[in-house]
Amino acid sequence: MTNRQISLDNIDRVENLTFVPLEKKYLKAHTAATALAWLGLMLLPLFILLADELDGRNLIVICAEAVLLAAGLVNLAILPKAYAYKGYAVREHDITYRSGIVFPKTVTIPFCKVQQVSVRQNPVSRMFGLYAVDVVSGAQMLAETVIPGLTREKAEEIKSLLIERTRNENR
Amino acid sequence: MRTGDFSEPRRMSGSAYWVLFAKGLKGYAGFVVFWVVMIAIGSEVERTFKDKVEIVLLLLAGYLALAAVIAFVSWYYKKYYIEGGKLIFIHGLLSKETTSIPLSKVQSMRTKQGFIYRVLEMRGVLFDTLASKSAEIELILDDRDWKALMERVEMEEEAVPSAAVSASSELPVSSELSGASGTSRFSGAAEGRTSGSSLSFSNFNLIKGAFCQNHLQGMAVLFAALAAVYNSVTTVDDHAVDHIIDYVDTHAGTLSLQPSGYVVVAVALYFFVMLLWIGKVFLRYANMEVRIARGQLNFESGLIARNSSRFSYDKVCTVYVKRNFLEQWLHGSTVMLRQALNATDEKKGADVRVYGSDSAADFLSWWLGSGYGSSPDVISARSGYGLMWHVMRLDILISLAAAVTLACFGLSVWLAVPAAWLLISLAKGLMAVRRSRITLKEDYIEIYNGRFADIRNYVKYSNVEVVRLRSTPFTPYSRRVSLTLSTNGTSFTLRSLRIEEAREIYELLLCNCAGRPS
Repeated sequence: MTNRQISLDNIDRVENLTFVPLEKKYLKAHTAATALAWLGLMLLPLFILLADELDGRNLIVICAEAVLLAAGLVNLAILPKAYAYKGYAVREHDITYRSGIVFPKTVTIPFCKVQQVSVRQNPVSRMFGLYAVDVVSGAQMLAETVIPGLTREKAEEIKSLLIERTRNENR
Repeated sequence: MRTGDFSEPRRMSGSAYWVLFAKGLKGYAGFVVFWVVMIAIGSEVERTFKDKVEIVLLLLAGYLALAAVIAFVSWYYKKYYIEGGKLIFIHGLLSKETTSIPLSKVQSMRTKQGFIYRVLEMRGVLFDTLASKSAEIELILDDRDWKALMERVEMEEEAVPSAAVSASSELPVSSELSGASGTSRFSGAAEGRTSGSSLSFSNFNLIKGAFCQNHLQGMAVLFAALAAVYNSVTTVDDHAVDHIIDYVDTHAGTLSLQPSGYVVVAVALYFFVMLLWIGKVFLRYANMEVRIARGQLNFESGLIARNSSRFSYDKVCTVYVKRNFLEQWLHGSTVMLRQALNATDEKKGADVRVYGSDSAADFLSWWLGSGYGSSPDVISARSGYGLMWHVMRLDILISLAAAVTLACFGLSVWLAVPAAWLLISLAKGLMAVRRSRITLKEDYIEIYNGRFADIRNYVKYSNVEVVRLRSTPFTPYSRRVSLTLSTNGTSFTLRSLRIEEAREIYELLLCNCAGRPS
């Protein structure tokens, strides 16, 4: 049985890392996507107007729309703060992604556990010329970590780095 | 080279055809019974008895012919062989499909021997990989072919030097288990290093273990049986359920009970579901045998249908050990060896579970090494009272809603029910806080996450896939965070840990999971 001492003094700890921020355009893209989502939600109460027999349906629709509008505005207001917190950091043996505003979270995936890396776009991010890197591991939970808001060059660079490091770690 | 070494494509033996035929008959039986009943009672056209018999005989002949043809196609156009360390399976009539599975990628090899299989002395062999949730391939083999296939698979495994083989040299050498009845024994421990060891578990311990579980699980068995009955009744006649409801409605007055009667019915129902649960466990896990050899674990159990599972020690991602107060009192435990989530079809209970016997130490010795108990602690962290809120939050909402509803209807005496519910929930929350902790040992991780039961999960560092730290809006004041670690089959979230301890554990997990020196 070995009994080696474990010391964390010579490790760049996750809380001390300098996180690379996402592209500034990502804030605009995220704002557009969020606004579209809330607009979609605000369309739903309009179907209540089709219920002719329902008394006071106008009032119900106005109330629902007001609540949704308020929630949407609050959501849009906190997006810059959420954007400022988001970021990624690469260490010698793992990659860390930080996100969340109400429940800030930090996820770290060791390179040796990475099973798949891919670069993707959705219609909104395509409009802004942004890409996301999907890092997939074999975990039961948190199997997929997405780093959004990257330029094509940056996304490809991260992908290549991850693939190379994963290959080296598994050697 | 003789054909018995699986080097050339071969069909399953002739008896496999009869198993496929019987499976076909079973598969179409419901459809045939439905039509027989329809012809016998439900036809609008006037027919003589002779006509009806003729139609039924024709239907049965068609049924037999269909099952025979499909079984033949399934048997004839299915071949398998082993080549270059791969199990190759060719099947299909119109479009020929070839499935190739590297034996090193087989997560577990399972066998099943239902009633038909046992009558024909055959067994269904299933190969699980991580590529899909269900078994990739099922072969129906007789005992001779099964043994030959096992030998060939073992030969292929020996050809590939693996860590599993070296780890198997640390097999446990304890001579007897510490179960209350002492009926579970290790045999062949002395030869363990070469030919392996075996554990056998008494049926008495199994019944004891099943009795110690939450019997309300029997409700699931009851509901499954009722659902099957409901399905059969509605298949035969859509109006049958309406007739039953009408009958109950008509006789509701005569069937009404006194309050004491409801208590008796509830107690009787509880005992009934308890018996159902114990019966289910007994059928599934009776005459249990576990063999450990060359880094492989073979698990076989079942009273009528015998099921087995064989997998390498490095395929286990977590060893789960539960001891509730009944199990502690009766010196038993529930041990579960958990594999990757998509490794097995969990609905069929392919995870290895051992009820009743106090065999945790033996499985842990096999998996973690015989010296696992002496592995020194590196760091430990306990959950705070934030966990209590998390455990109680739903119960608080339910109790509040129930209390408000009861107060609105003026049923103040019944307010005792949500109050009692809340008290139980409080006890649950306090116990959860008392038990929840994580300990990083030199060689493995120990996670305690029970409430009323003492649950310990053992995870190897190499099984940790991802680690996450999550704060809450209260973190700046409480200095507490949640730590999640996920393996390929299990995931654990430890809530309300001190932020400094959680960060330390986070880093140590990352350092150790890749096996690199820190």
